[in-house]
Amino acid sequence: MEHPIAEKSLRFGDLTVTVRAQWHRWPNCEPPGGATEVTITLMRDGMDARIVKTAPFRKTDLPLRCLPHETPRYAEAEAKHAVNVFLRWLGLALTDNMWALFMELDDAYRFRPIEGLRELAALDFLSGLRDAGRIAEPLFVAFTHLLCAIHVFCLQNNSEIDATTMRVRLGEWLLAFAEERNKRFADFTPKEVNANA
Amino acid sequence: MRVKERKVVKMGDLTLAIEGTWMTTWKDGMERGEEIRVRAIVHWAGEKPWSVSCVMDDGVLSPYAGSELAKEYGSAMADRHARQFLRWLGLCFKDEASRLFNALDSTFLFNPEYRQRPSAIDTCWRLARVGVVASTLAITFNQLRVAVSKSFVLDIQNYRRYAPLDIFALVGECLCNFAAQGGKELDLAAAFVEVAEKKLQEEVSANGASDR
Repeated sequence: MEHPIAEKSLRFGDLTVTVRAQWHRWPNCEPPGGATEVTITLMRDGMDARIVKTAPFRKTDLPLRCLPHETPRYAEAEAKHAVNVFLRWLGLALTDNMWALFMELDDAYRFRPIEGLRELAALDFLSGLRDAGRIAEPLFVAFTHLLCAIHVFCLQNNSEIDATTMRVRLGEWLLAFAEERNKRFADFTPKEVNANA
Repeated sequence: MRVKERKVVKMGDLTLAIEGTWMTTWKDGMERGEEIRVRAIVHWAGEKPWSVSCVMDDGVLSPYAGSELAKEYGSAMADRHARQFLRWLGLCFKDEASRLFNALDSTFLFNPEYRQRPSAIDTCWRLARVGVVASTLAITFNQLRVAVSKSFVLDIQNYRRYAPLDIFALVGECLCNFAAQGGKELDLAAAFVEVAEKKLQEEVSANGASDR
């Protein structure tokens, strides 16, 4: 059975980034379980080719811990949560808040051994680091493409705002967008374009 | 140019080859960069071998790579990375996650904690790369652990003899020693018995001294 997909898209300049997530139930698995997957799709205006990256977000049986008819609703909530968390991480990366991003990734994937607090077995540590690495890849790809889109926008529009400021601003908008529950699309292209452009 | 260095670890039915490869990368018809890969080839007796691999390092071409020393340089780099991978594998067996974390961090610099203004793009990229290395390590670790568990070491008599010494930690020590010595082939079972018996003798003599 296919569970609902959650989706949010953002646009900056000529780049559209779509973040999708879906919770899947593992077939023939005892005890029952499942995993949420995040997919990002990057599209540029005027280009047919798309870049698609998929990464496992987390393993969870949360949608199964309810009455069977409620599973799709819980699965949708889980998928929405994954999309919002991914957008939040992208926002943190764009604002260069690296320490906060690293801590949030560590909270999610538990890959940092802390003496006396979190003594990890070698295999747990490795699998946590592997999962963090998997989600870091689409983050990196989305981040670099957004960075390119910002630079292209600044050059094409002779923008008065420098690229770094614009990147941090976009990061802040993304953090706010991640908090908004019902909004599914946002265009972050700055409307104030230099009159000399 | 491509140079390979191979280290082989044998344990029971498993032959594990750790292969470091240093190679130059080409772009627009020119040698422009170099890349170092580590491949773990898992070969169970009577089965088809399979492998997992990861990129350990890549970048612009080193001055050595263009000189007559290229082969020696490539061989040294491949050997170094294969040995480094074996040492990390040893740390996995010793269950020293903190040391492994620090060792991976000093190679891939993915932890922003002690860095000055680490950029997000850099950290995400490094984290993505170390994730692949962690995945390769985890798969290799699991395979070798299965081989150790299936071997004579865990026969009931041997288990009784060696269990107080922490069997997997001793396996880790053998792998770390092998990585440090830089040999080509390791008979892990023989190395394990040697290290374990030495430890047992040390314990016996220490107990004897304390009794006196």
